[in-house]
Amino acid sequence: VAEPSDLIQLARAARRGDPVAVDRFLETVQPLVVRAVRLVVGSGSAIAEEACQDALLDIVRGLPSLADPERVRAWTMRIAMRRAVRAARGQRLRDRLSGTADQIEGVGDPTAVPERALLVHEAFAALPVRMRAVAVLRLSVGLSEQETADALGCAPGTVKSRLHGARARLQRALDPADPATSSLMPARRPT
Amino acid sequence: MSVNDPVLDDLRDMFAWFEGPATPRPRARRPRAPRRLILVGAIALVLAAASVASADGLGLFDGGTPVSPQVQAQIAASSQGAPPALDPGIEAGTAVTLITIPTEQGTASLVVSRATRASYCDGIAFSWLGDRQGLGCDGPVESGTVPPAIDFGQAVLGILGRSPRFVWGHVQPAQASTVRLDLTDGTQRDIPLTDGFYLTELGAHDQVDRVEALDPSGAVLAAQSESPVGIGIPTTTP
Repeated sequence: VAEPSDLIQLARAARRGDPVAVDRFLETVQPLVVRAVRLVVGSGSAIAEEACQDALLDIVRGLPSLADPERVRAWTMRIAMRRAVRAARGQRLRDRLSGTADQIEGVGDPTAVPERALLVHEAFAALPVRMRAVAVLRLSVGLSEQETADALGCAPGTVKSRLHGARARLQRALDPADPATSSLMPARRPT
Repeated sequence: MSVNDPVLDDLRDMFAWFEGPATPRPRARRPRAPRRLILVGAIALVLAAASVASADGLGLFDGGTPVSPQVQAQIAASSQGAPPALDPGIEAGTAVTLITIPTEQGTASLVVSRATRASYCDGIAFSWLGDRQGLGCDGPVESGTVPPAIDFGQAVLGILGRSPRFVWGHVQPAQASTVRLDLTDGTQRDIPLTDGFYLTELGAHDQVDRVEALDPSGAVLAAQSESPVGIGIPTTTP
């Protein structure tokens, strides 16, 4: 990924309609967009691939209206997350209705993944979509709290609480017997 | 909360395993029956012009050249197994090539397929076939006659790797005879119509300022001047 200043310069030129800059801008943001969308929607999902491409097209279309090139990374992720969240919700509904995940070949091959990562993946997939988006933007894309908030259209405090919530749920799912996590479980009513 | 945390580290590790390659896979319209890309050595631009094919009886399918079985299968695959919301409604085996142009990277074709119904993308579906493809669906083809309208889209470099750049679209053929591209450098380019469709390659630095549909006398019937960054531009009339 280009240094932010390079990305900002590219965004400025691309916004003006310079086709070479548009090309280079897309090449630069594509890896971020594709990875982030895939992680939120679910790697190996055909719906995720659709969302990746739709997000990239949205970004191309939206370039002329990019208001602040200084915040282009958050802007790009805002577009990507809009597609990702929508696709993830649709994917979850389809999975529930069909009982099967919508998998395609070649992406996220589970046979090569360590067991721990598979467990984390399963637990992550069960998180609410917005929590997944926050986790991806903060931990994979590397956005700041403020940038993540900009990208998801929420307050920085919401970003913090969603990441905290994601962590708590993951810990419960991964180590349910760990006393350290027991306090995170909902309190039981006395019987 | 610090982002340095064993649980979050687990999450980061998982992300690294599952993020996959950084390029989008070709757009597949068969989510439950993955298709394999066939490297056809040619790049085809596919238009499923439902409204045109069914509404105005242009006889597109009488004059076109049938596409290869591989391309036919690729087009048909767009509808096979696709959930209703993603199904462009391709009528298998009906695709014909209307326009073929040479490019630096091989032959590009404009292919039209019959569609069984209005698709989720409002009547026009197109995708690249070959080793890079999948620009999706956009921009309805206007088949009406009043008012005349021209639409166009532009395939943009870099979304799916290096591709030629094209401008393509449709205008009501009974009225228009030529399409004129006004480029931002002040030059103009006239493009012939084939059953109302046009396809041309742009140079690396060409920028389209305006697309016009001209009648045989050279009068402007319809024009579109919105910046064609992206693909699938809505139609307007003068």
